[in-house]
Amino acid sequence: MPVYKLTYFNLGALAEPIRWAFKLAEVDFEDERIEREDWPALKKSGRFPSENMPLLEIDGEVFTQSSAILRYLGNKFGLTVDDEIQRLRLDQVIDITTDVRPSFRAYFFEADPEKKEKARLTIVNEVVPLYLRQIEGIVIKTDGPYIAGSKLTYGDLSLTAALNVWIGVGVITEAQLQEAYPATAKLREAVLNVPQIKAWLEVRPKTTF
Amino acid sequence: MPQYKLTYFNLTALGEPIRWAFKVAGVAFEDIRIPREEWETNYKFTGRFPTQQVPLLEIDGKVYTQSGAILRHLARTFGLITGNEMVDLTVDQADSIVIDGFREFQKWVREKDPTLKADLHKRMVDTHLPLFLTQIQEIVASSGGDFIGGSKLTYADLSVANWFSIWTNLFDPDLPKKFPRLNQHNQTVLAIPEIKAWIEVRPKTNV
Repeated sequence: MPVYKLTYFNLGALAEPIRWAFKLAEVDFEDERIEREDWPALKKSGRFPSENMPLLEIDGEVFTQSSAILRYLGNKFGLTVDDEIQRLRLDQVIDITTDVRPSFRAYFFEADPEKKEKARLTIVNEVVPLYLRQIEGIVIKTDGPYIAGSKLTYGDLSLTAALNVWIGVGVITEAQLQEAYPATAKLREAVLNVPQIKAWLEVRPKTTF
Repeated sequence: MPQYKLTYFNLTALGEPIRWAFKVAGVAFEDIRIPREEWETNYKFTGRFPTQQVPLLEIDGKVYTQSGAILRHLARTFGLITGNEMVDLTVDQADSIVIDGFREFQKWVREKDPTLKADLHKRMVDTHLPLFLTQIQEIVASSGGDFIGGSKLTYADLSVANWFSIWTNLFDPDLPKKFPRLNQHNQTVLAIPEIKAWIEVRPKTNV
């Protein structure tokens, strides 16, 4: 078994589905968390090829790009399906949640309070509904609870972690999710109740998202 | 063989690696191009585009979005992957880095204010492109072959070559000099007969 070391902020966000993949596979990994204030110096240290995180080291070899890492572990740990079209849907869902991120960044980094509120309202009223409508449309294609039906895959982990970010930063509530996007809410419930993930959630560091 | 219909703007950008995948595989597809000036008025809000974005790929009439998902699906269908888990991780990584570059490119495209736009252009040249291309070049250089996955052409080669050309044309004509191994990679991909033939006949566009 290779030696795995994951490096990220002390957050869920992009690293969390990766952590869940390890937990589900019951494979050990070092869960390195970088404090915000230490990041600017580390960023330029040469350790981070894309000056970004997460990083996964596999037997000391460095890999970047959270979705590449997640797909690799998903395939390796059997958190995937054989059916080609379902694989396309898994990847679609991951990419949809990725497409949301630029809007979030614009909101987070906006200093002007008026523009910031405007950006937040755009996310709440336009961006999140647009993407959640499509995600719901994909999730209801099977009887569920997961994107590919009864099989839990890396797409479900990625989606659930993204939803937790959106809920954590307050652009949607659990109740709103349940009401407007019930299949997606049900998928999230199912993932959070998988025993290995549930156990991890109880012990993991508590962060906003 | 399913019926494929690709809908995108009359541009290379996110649609082009997908078109190259079909060309390399020798598989027919309908190549629909929407005029950019008609997008907001006649297409975006019609309900035909689930994320109000393009590209869209219809496979036997079923609609799929997300260029990356589409490209990877076609790669699996057409054998544009290596099948080696660790190598395919590197392939996926390279493609993802290109998409990070696309995000910065997209900011520049969307910026209307000329001063801010010029600033974004400068940041692309001085900061973003060097960061991303250094990493991709490193991956290509250590692959042991002409391509990102070694000796086998994969979807990431299509996407890297496509964007290297775009960024050279729009941002920094010195990219081939600054990243010689990537320039070599770009030339190799563009010389693939099916891609070369396509580039000769494809619609000529700024991007």
